[in-house]
Amino acid sequence: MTNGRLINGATLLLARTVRSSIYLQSLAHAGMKPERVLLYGAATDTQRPPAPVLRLPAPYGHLNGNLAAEEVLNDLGWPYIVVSSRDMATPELIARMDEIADQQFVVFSSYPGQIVPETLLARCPFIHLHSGWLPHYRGSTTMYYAMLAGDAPGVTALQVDTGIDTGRILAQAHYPLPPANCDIDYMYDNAIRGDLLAKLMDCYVLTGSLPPAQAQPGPGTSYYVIHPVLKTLALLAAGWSDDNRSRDRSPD
Amino acid sequence: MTARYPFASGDPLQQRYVYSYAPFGGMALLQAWRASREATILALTTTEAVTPCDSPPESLEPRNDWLSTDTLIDQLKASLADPAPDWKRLDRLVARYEASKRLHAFQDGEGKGIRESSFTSLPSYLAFGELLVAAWRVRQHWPYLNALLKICDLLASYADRIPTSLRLRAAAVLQDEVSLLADLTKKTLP
Repeated sequence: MTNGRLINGATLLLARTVRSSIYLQSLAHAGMKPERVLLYGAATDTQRPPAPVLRLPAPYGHLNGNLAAEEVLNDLGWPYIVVSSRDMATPELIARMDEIADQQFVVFSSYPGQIVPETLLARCPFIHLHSGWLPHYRGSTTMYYAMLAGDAPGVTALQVDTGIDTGRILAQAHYPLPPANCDIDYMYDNAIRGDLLAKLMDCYVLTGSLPPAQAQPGPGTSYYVIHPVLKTLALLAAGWSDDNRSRDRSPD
Repeated sequence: MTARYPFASGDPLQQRYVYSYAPFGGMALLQAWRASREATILALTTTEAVTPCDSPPESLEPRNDWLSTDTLIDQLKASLADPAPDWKRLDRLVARYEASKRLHAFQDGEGKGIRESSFTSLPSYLAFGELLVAAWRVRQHWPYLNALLKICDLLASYADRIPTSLRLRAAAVLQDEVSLLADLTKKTLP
């Protein structure tokens, strides 16, 4: 689908990552097209899974984690701007953002570990799709911690502030446990973020505005990259077995 | 063929382990981790250090507003006996460790490690491991157990260098980690 409903005033600021690719595919599949796309980083920054990843079962079977964001954009025929630096604070990127008129908000997908510089945050709302139910699950790899605690995976759309996962909440949804025999880090995690992004943008297109942003209710807990032993335990607790191991992707 | 546990060798203070995007390892990974830990515990309790390495002499003159990380760890250990332990400062120490995978000898007033100070003191990492074991027992907070696993990887990686005076303590931290994970596995897996 190349011609969908236009998401007026929306800019997608995308690193060359699998997540960005999945976001684009999710919006296209939902029949929507952002007003602008800005791809940052050089072609050599393109992230690809270490080994080809399998598609997920329905409802995410349309997503292809092996396609780079730029390939998706070209396939869709969507115009996009390229900024060669992978630094979000680079003057070229800021200048490009300043050239955009009538920008209502930016949905961003960055390289790992990046935070949006304050100079960009001051320009317009930035929306982040966090894989975790806020405020309870802030930080990294929270889906696995939720599984260890017996909680369902969650995704939160939030308006970024200067903290980490502390901004005001625009939308939240719970999702089923990842199906066995799937790639979680490159596929399922991104697929459920893309799903909430599409739902949020659908709401915006229908109503002409984003939902009211709500302050997070109470203090949260921050998590850090989960140790592989705990990660394995979380997946075994979720019903995965050694049968899934050979079909999972190869180590990094 | 037995799987090899990949996070117990090398020089992780110089070349940090990458834990992100690790593939699902299944029971084979858990068995490899357990076997690796048992071998390290045995080595710590039955052999001497090959190249013992005590705390490096700290050449940096601390400023008045810096805090020694060893002192902070001692304070936090003592705080666990209080009715209201100092979780905030412990959480901050864990956050700083997770960010850099290093414990610098000194911290500034905001808990940020002084980058010019040394970060190779094995006794500091050992004391931090002991703190994490005790903290997890008081408050089952996942970041503590997660950081403990990473600290134990580090201690296992440097087991050959842990001096005689510390080897039994290091073995005890690794044994505690194994026991905590065994308890967790019993609770978590059907």
